[in-house]
Amino acid sequence: MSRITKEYRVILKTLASDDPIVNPYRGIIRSLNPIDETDLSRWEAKIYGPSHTPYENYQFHILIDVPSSYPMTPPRINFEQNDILHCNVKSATGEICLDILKPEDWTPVWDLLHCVHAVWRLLREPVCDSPLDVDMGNIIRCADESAYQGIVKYFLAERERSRYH
Amino acid sequence: MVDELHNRLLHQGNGTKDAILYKIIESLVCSICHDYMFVPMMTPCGHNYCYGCLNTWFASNTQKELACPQCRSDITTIPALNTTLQQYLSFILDKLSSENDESFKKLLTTKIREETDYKLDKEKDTLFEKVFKNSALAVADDSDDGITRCSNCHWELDPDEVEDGNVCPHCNARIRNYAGGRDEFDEEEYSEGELDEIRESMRRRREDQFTSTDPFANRDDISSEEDSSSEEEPMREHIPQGRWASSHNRSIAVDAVDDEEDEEELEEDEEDMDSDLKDFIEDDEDDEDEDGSRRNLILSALNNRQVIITDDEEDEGREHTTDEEEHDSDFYEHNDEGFASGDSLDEDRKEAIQVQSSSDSEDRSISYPSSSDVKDKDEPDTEDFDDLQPRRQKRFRVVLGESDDE
Repeated sequence: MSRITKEYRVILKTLASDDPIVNPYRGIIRSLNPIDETDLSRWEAKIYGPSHTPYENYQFHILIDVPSSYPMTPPRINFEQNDILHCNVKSATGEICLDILKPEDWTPVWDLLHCVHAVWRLLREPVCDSPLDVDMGNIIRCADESAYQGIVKYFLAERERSRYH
Repeated sequence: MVDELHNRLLHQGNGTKDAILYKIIESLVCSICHDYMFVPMMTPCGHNYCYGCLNTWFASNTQKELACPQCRSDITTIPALNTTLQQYLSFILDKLSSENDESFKKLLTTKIREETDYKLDKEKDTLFEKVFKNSALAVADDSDDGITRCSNCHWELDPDEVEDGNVCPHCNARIRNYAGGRDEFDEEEYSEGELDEIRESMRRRREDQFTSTDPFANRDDISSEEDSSSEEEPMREHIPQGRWASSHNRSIAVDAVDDEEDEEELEEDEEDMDSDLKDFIEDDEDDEDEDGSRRNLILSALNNRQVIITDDEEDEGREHTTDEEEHDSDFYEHNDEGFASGDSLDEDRKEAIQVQSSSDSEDRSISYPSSSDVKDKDEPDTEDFDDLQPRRQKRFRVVLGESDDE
């Protein structure tokens, strides 16, 4: 049995549990599942915006490609296009700049749950030294917290508006 | 007292026994394939993986030093079969065996297959596809200011050259430990214990790196004081600064931990520091770049030593080392003994080997100078640069002699 199959079983069990010891991802990962049950190479996840950040009360959609060489090589993880505004995400494509997902920093002991959790943590702790969105990176670098919050909140409000109208 | 735990276990309820058993079985699962380790191999850092998984991991990252997937520490020696874990699993399988169960049979087939794979490789002496035989280690040469050299051919490993590929530029051997270049890791992925471990190894790396990148920079310090403790001092000084510089990239929480540690180290170094100044530094520790360099200035002023790498001038620092390389190769080129310089490696090498073989027997007798010899020689080196040349020359010929044996 391949590793991703084993992971799938664990993920089902973990995320279904209400016990915080079994499921430490409560309030972090809403769902993580293959898009098509018969194809374990394409996954999607929904994460909650971390509290005390402008992303709070919003949900974000993550797309995951699991290569055949996984877990020796990292999964490819992106946000949905135009889903989020963040200094380490290229909004238009959803590309994420996260070190542990780069081949040179990846190690096979991480699994999909770890990866999605790491993306969630990136929302909480943006890294302005390696920005994909230079403008957002500069705002953080200037320590202009309110500007950052304002822009993100505006973007997310617009996102919701365009979705439901 | 040997029976203490045995007896206690007998009097425990089923819940505790189950928890213990579950934990034991869990420790038999490989963190790479998430399956039972029928052939558990233990790395020098104490983590266990299937033989097959570890083999695939080493092969899948040919561009990098061999590192433990769990703690990222260098794997410099070949992992050993962990027979204790292997016996646990065999024992458990034995006790739980049920011949009619299909999935259990599968387990047994896998066990036999993996054990045979290992046995065959071991008999053929091709464990881990010989990666531990065909690769080399980066070794800090203590008799030569700690310059990092390839353990295979003794070529000097320049972090800038080795950075992409982690392969010895001379003999092409894969370097299985860190030889400079990349020094970043995600601190938040580790527990506190592991983090300390990594910090320790990073500290050691920085020492290596520092001594290997600018061997001339600290020559002043070494020449003035002979004993080994004084040689270490400038290194210690650099470490906190390097970490300080890199800590800007990290989250605030981690910064705080880092800086605290730095502060401790600094205080050790600057015990005679004026208390006013100390306060001044500590107050400013949250501020960024500007204060980092200011702090460095203060340190250098206090110690009356040359501090090269500061936050703002990291790039300059790098240029500085490049200058020195040029300087190095220049001075090899001017040497009529046929030196192989880094720049004109191919042409010079043939020549060098010829020269070397003609005077082979003579060179063989020249061994590496003992550390005390070096210190004696180091002293005049700084004052009289010409004295340095013959010493370098000799060593270089010996190096080529050894590589020629291959």
